Amino acid sequence: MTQQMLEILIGKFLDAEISPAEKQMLDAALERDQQAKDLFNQLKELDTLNQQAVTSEVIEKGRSAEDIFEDAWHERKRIRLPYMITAMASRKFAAGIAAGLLLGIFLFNHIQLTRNPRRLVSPSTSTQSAVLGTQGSNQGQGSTQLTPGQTIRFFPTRDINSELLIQLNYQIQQMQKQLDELRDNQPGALKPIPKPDGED
Amino acid sequence: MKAKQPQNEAVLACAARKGDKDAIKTLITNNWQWLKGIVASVVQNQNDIDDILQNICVTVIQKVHTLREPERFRVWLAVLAKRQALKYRMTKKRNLNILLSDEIAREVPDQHAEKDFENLELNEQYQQIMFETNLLPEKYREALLLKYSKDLSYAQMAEILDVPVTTVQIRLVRARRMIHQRLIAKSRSN
Repeated sequence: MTQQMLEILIGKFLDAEISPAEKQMLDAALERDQQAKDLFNQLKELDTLNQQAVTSEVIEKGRSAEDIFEDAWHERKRIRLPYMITAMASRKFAAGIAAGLLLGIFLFNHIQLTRNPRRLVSPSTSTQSAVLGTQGSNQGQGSTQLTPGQTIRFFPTRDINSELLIQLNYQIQQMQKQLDELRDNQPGALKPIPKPDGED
Repeated sequence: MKAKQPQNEAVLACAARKGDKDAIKTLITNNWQWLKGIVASVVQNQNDIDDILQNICVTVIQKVHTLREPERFRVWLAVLAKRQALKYRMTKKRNLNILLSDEIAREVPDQHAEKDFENLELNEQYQQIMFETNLLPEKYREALLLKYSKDLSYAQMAEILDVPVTTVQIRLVRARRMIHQRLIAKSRSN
């Protein structure tokens, strides 16, 4: 039996974890080897001393569990209020940061839109879905109704395909020409829609 | 004497989660000795041990409602205790003697001797053993103090330390061997 194996068996014996088979092995080793027996006796004595030392120097010293628990129970009430205040303060701080961020985004967009109306145009890469703004008399009205003689001008942005705009402008000009012709031929049928009183 | 794990520990833990003071108190006092052993493996000063134990109690009272598995209360408590002890040691690192130096260790028996004249020899032996125990690597010291603080079984120690049973066994064997060898070396040199 090796020294390590012997120490393991002695340890198991001291900790009352040894099985009957292991106990037999240990007894046999102790009988035939005086050195093993000496080691066993020394470790057994050390175990007793260790147990007493820990009990005397650690377990029996200091305040009792009941006293410490009662103090902790009272301290809990004292700690709880500052803890709650701190928790509330941190939540308020986070909410303030979030609100500030949202306000900042809103203001940034608002300023951008005010300064440069072309930004109203969607920066979509698809020219088919691009939205065009209007300028002049129709500015700010969104979708407009065409009336004879009314000039409609689209102002392009860098993001929209210029060829598409040219085509659109051309088609609008053609439509205007057709409307003008119709108005000239039938002046009674197609007149500019009069605006209601008081409206600019 | 084998430490009996209370059968109703999980039930007590359930009650403790709901804020039952008596349940929390019973749970803590039932596990007090090994808890003290774990703390003593990190710090050696008795006042510090008491302070840490009080911090542990406060934390248990405040956080027991977050315990997910009541049947694993001991593991939860052991982790919490070790964390609290390490935190305390970190904050008071300069003032604490994490590992007693030879110089201080020689002073301790003298201080103790003044208090207990009758058991001077025995107390010196205890101090000597505690000194050697404090010189052990932390994991061995922890296993040894846990073992002798409440004579726990290997299985209970493995549960608390969250390691396999064989690891506990090996740590104890090595811890004993180290202390034994050092004591023999000292007796020979004397």
